Amino acid sequence: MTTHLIQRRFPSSTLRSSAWRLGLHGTSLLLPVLLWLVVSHAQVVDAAFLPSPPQVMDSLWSMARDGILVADASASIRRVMLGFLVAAVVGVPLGILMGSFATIRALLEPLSGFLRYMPAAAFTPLLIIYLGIDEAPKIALIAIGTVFFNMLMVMDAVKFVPQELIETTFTLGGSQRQVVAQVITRYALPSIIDTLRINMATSWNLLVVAELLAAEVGLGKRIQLAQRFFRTEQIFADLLVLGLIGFAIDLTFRLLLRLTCRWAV
Amino acid sequence: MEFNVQSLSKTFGEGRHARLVLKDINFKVCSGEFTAIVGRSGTGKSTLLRLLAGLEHPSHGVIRMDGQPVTGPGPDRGLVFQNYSLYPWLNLAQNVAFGMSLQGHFSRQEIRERTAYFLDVVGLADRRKLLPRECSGGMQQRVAIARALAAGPKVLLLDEPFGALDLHIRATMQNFLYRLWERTRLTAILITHDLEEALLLAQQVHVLAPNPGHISHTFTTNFNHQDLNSLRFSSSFLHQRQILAQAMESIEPYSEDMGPT
Ligand SMILES: Nc1ncnc2c1ncn2[C@@H]1O[C@H](COP(=O)(O)OP(=O)(O)OP(=O)(O)O)[C@@H](O)[C@H]1O
Ligand SMILES: [Mg+2]
Repeated sequence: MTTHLIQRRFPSSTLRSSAWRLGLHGTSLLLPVLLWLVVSHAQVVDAAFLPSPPQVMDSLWSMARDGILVADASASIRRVMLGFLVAAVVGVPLGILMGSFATIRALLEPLSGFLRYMPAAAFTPLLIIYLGIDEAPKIALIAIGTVFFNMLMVMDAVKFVPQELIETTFTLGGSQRQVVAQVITRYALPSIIDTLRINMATSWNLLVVAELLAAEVGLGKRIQLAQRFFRTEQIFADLLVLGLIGFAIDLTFRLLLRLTCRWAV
Repeated sequence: MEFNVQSLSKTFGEGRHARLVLKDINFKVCSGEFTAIVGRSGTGKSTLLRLLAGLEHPSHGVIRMDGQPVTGPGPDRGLVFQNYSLYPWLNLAQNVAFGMSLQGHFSRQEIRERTAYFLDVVGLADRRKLLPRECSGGMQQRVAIARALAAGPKVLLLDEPFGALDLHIRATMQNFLYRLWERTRLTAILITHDLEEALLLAQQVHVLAPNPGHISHTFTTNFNHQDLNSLRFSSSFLHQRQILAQAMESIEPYSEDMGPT
């Protein structure tokens, strides 16, 4: 919704042409790559600190060939997805209820507002004590770090459902349950999808912290190992993969928004 | 059907902040009657309508529908707001059908037929697939009326339904609503600050006086509605309009915010 809002507030006639827009998108991605090429080629910075694009590509290719890349990426994606899923399944309904019912909000808002300010990473020692060192504490860490944002942002989105729409539904014979499920949730759906899209980034941020906990595989883990052996090209390669995965997920959410909420986009 | 309002009062807030908005309102609306309530801004017109709809609770007095006290909103009292409160994700036909599907006691067949019928009544049968945002304000308001009627209310409550429309469309919509009333003999209570609108549509016009809101005058009209556009300029209509305007002037000669500074 945010991007659409900007478009509506500052409409640009040129941006309507998709070729021009595509050009801008391309520039925003290609320009840094170009800069990187130039800087590494000019050898302003020691290659050990700033590997060149070919070196990074080589590293990427060799990790792919050895199967490390797929193993790392799938382990990381699995952790993030599970943690994110828990945070969504718990956070979205609670957020909707908090936005809809003053009592539930009074009950949960102070608590979640308070917990949100505790850095999720600080929970790590406790999670290890409670859940051991396998996948569970990693997933829990991601879930904890994301769920309160989900709750509070969805709650805010629900506040924007027009009161008149809710009241009209009651006068049409709708029950409280129907109003929450069929009107409030439906109206807030575009914002909920957008909330999830934004908080997906939070989940990915927590991944690296989660993989500090005795992980065998994972993109974050690989980066830490690479640092130990001063393999900067590997760090660059993994960062690139992290960025690409994030970008793909972001696009998927945008597509989902377009498909499910044509009325809002 | 009989809609009965007895010594209705409404206070907002408590203690020091308590504010009496409506005081001792009494009136009755019978089946097939069109009643209008006129008053200046802030006299409590919307509050009154919300009380009738069951969206607010009376501080004092009762609202009875066929003898039963009104305790909350329900499908026997349809409501149309000034702002087009259509469901933006549903097309016009789905909007009209929504109330019926919420209630659960209409069959699919019934829902389809009633939706088609009421879309036709408001003249939008061929626009059924459009989304609300693709429609003009007048069209949206006609859909809102169709949606309220399709849900099968005993009385239709309208809060300045045409207040956001420009003058020309407004006149068209007023004519439309009158013809709709003629055709369906719906029972309606219309809130408006447009005196012409009130006189044109209603048989009974209550004037709501401010501070706190109370009914100061009640007029009954008896016009020949054959040609609505010439009725607006007929001498009997204009005369009645003047009487109504004078009545309103007498309760509030010069409001403070309009006086010289
Ligand atoms: N929920 C509320 N809490 C407190 N005061 C309220 C509430 N609703 C309305 N009021 C007050 O009651 C008074 C009447 O409001 P109301 O909206 O009924 O007026 P109105 O006649 O419909 O005005 P308008 O023509 O501008 O729509 C106003 O002074 C308003 O501030
Ligand atoms: Mg009002």
